[in-house]
Amino acid sequence: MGFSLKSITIAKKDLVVEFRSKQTLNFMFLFSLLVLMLFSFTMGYSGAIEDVGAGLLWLIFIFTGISGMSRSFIREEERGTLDGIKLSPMGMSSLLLGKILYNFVLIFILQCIIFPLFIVLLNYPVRGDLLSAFFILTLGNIGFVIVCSALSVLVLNARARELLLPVILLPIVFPLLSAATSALKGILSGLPLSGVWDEIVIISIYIVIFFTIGILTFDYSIEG
Amino acid sequence: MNLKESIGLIAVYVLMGICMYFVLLVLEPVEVLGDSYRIFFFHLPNAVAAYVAFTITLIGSILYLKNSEVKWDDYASASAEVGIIFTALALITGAIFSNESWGAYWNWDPRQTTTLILFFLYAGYLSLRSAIENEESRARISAVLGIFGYAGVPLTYFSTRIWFSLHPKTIGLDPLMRTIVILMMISFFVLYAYILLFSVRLKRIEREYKKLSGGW
Repeated sequence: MGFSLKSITIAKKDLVVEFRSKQTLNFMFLFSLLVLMLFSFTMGYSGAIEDVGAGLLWLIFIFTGISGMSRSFIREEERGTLDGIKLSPMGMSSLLLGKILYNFVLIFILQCIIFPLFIVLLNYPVRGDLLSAFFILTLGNIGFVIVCSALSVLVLNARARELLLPVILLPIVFPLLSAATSALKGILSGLPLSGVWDEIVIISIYIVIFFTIGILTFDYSIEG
Repeated sequence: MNLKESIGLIAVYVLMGICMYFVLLVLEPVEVLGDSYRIFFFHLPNAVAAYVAFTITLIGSILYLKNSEVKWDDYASASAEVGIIFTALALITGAIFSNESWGAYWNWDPRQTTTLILFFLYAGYLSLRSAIENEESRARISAVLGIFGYAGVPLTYFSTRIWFSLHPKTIGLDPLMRTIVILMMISFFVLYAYILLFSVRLKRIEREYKKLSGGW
């Protein structure tokens, strides 16, 4: 089996386990809906939604993602299956890639539900192309999923790991959040994709850099 | 304290003393900014020293992952500790200077933002270290985070530059001022190196003591 095939196997295994109970997905969906409702209630009629909306949407993904996606490794650890995977004839980097794929499927499903609801519930005055906005969301979420998956391994052996993950993750996600918010805001206010070219370049570089570092250092993060 | 450290400490006092004399007493007030520009001579070297400190953390992290020698982990963590203090000082002096020259303490200017994010990054780095009991895995895991954190820094700068920037790209300094800035930078580097070496030695002694006392 090749590198990518192995990781697809891992992702498939995780998806099967997840869809049996839908525990994480249900949690992520409910949590993001709740946050969205709170944002809508506290800010929906403020008139400033065009200014802050894009940022709020990213915050929903980031908070939901942190609490949902960190589960992918913690679950393996809690059930004691992580050692089994370590023993299997599978490169550690395909394990990381598998988890990235699995987490991406989760957040992509979430994105398909939350994005339309966000526009409706916040009365967002969309003036741009929704398909391009969806593209920016997907691109940003790819970057986020990579960093979140790679860093959630680091807290496995730490005390208070659920509290620690956001503290180490959020500063690293900051450049992505900043570029993606600016891009989404631009697209929703009517700019074409070429109008947010700088942001797209930064997000793409972010994805490449952190994917490379994630793969290169993963052997060290999981060992022991 | 050994000889190397004593020389370092004396060098810091002498260099900083000379610089302070020039910055506070010799230089004349300038147009527009008046006396407030004097803080710049502390702010810039401070910020540069912080960036150097985090670069040393990165190098220490990479070397630890490569050789698994515990001394590289000592360098990485000690440098992060010093770096975080320098970053905090750079943020404070920067905010004061910014209030005088731009009219507000905080502006989300790219360099200001990047420095703040650096502060949070390495605060996270140190909290991760304090949350892992096992020494070997603490060193290994924080080395990975040291590499991750550093990679985000240039991107933070460029991603916030999309919004706007207030920092001057080049600064008009006369030759005397330039000499003082360079001298100040050297003294901050010596100060940094002194604290780093001291802290690394302390960590080594602490570990040896723990080994001798059987973990107590």
